[in-house]
Amino acid sequence: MIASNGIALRCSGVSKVFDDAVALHGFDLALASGTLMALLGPSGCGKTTALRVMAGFETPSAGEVWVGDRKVAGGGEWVPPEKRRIGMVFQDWALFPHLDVWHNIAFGLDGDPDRVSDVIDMMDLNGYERRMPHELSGGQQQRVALARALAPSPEVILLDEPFSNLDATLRASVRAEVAQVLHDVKATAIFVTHDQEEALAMADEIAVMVGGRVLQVGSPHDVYGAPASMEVASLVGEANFIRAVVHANEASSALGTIAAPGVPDGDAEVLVRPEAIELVFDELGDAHIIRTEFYGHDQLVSAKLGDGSVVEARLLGPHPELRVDAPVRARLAGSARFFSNGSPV
Amino acid sequence: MSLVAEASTGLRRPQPRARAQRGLVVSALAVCAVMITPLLYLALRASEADASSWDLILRTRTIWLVLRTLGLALAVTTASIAIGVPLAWLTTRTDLPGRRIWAVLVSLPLVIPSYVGAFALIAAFGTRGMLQQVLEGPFGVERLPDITGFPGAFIALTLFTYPYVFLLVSAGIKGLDPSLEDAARSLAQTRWTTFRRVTLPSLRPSIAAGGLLVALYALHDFGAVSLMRFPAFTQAIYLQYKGAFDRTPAALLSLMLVGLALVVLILEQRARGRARYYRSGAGTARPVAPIGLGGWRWPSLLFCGGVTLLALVGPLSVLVFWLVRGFAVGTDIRLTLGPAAGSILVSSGAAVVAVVAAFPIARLSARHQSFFTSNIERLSYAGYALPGLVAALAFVFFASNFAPWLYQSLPLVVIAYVVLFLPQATEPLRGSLLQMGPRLEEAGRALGRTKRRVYRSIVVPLIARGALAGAALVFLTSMKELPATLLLRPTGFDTLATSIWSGAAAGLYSKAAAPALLLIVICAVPLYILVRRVEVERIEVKAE
Repeated sequence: MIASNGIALRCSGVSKVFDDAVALHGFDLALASGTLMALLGPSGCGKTTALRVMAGFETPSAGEVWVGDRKVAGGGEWVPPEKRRIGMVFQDWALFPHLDVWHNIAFGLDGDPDRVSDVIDMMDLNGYERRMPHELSGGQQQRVALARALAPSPEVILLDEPFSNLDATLRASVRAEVAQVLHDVKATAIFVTHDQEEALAMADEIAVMVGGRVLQVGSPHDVYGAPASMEVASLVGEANFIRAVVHANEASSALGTIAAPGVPDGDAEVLVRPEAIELVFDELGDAHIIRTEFYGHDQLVSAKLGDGSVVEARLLGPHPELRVDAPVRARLAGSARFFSNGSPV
Repeated sequence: MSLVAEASTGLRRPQPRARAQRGLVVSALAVCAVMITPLLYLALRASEADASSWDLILRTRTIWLVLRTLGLALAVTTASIAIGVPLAWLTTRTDLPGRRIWAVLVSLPLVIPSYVGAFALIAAFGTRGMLQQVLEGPFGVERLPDITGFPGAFIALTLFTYPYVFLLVSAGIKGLDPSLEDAARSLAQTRWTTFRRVTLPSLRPSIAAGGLLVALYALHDFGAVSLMRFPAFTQAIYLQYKGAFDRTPAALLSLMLVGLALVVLILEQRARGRARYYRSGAGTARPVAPIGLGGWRWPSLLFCGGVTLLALVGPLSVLVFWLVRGFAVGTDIRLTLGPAAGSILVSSGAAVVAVVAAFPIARLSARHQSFFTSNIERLSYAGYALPGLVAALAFVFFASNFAPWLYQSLPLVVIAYVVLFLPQATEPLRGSLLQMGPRLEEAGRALGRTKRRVYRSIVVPLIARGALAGAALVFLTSMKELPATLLLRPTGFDTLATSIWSGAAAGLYSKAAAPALLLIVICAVPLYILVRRVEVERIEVKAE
């Protein structure tokens, strides 16, 4: 039941007020069919509440929720969760402890053993059908939870911080696996995360959420490369903001003169991603290193510039000369984006 | 298409969440109303008291009554702690030989109701008890000194209530973080000062909790003190109720006893202290190396053996002695079957009703925590805090005035049990609901099952064990209940408890022995279920 415009799930103007706090405030979101979307935001921004409103576990205080052409909440209408055809993978997976893997997966199907077998094949769970949830590893439990949600072929699947219960070594592989499965079955899905790396790596689209509303929706490239605000810029990827004064399409800053075509004259802030800054050892440089974090394949180096501001640069390859207190010269080696009063120009 | 049809029936529906919760609240409120009926009715009754009733109560002998009762409670509590704490330490932390078996043996006296214990004491050491009978032949002893009164009540209550302290303190010791003790040792404390300055203070809450149970038991106990003819509060209330036409003084005395229990509760809160005790680090505590008893091994064994002998082997042997004695003189043991059936009937009725009544309260408290719901939960404890005798009196008053059709009927006995023991069903239910968490139900809904089907396929199977444990506990305590049964039972209806009581009170030891032994045997079944449940949980925790 995809709507004629190809939108599988839509929230418009959704607000949710709890006794003592506002969790959602004018929350708008449209999810195109077949898209894997990340709902990214800091903890406490209302991500999980948004998911629970979509699934039907919370009633919105205002606004509407649509699944395809069907209004499921808002305007006096209410469709209970079991009739929304929305699947959910919970943060703690919520596997039924009294049912084995087979019966967990079959739970949402009214007797269709073929479908259960199919899903078990798809999730590579063969041989585990009779295991109880507590007899499975974290990664396996994750797969069962996803299999269970996929089995009834819901319109939309919601995943609430699905990887936060896995340890770091497992997370990357499970993440790739889940993304692959969701892609293979052409699922329409939203997953909630506070991990920007996870969002950038997995999602077709990222919705950046702060303070109960969505600030920007776009492809990972768009959201990273052209953030709609300074807030979004610092939530998605690491961001340096440098003060600059623009005059006649040129900006002068602590990183030197930067081309600023079409930027109005006056004060501005320049967003420079760490990989767009180059630090070169230079006895005469007016900047110096204050911290280094070495990661092997690259390193994150913080430098104090001539005007006292601090920037972080991500540098590839070994740079043994860049020790703390070493004098350096900083320059722009990539693109920069200008913001004026917090909005992009 | 069927999907669309289904969806459209889903529309235009009032929000089911709100509605379901209302049902839950209404049923919880209804349960609470029944729970607080006895207390409210007593207060009402007492407020009608005129000067003459007050006169009767405020005579100096009431002061003595209070002091005697408190004195007994204090003595029993102190002795129980003195027995329970060392036993707990010996069986959990030391290399005492056979400590696992000792732990089971010394907690078993819990199945022996104090009135059965008192009866066993009298039947053994009483004026014409077993000892006298044995001594009569060879030595011609015709009378032994009287053990009734304070010593008898004190011994009976202590021997059959110390397991509360033992069990709670054992659990407390097992929950202690051994690294606390290690930390103390590394701060240059000796083993003894470590025990005194770290271990013992950390155990204060469990000792206080165990002591509270014992003190309340002693205050509320009716059977043991009456059999021992010790004039404690409950006995005075009973005599007042039996002897006087005007029941207001009994109501006044009952309220005073409830007040005494409140004072004890407040004292316990104080004794618990303000500190909070928990293990700060995550993860399970590593196993602790047992402390070598060395030369103290034999005195320790003697101590455990002595307690087991006095509280378990002794009473059981006495009962068996009188049972055999009864056979010899031709007592018909089949007479016990009727009361046994009666006991099982009312107790299982109470178990089922209690679990059903406890569900809305457990559910509200586990899922919809708020100021309102926690007060509902508190109200549901109102009956649990009442002595059985007092609750029974209130129901007698209430039924004879407002519901004569309930008076002396089996349903009233069941209601009284539920009022007295409801929290025993609420707690395990609440525990299993909390353990289950709300996500599982949501997962069931998201997979397309209605609320009702989710209840059936997820909630019911997952709380079944908690419900069974709650039912077993209520059954166990109802089986042992004496005063409410005595007062509320229909004429001619007997339970094991009432037959023990009438046999023991009349001095017909061999008549009381069979129902007493049968009661202990029947109580062992729910106890076994409870112990199994704890063990299963321990194993599951290990597996994780």
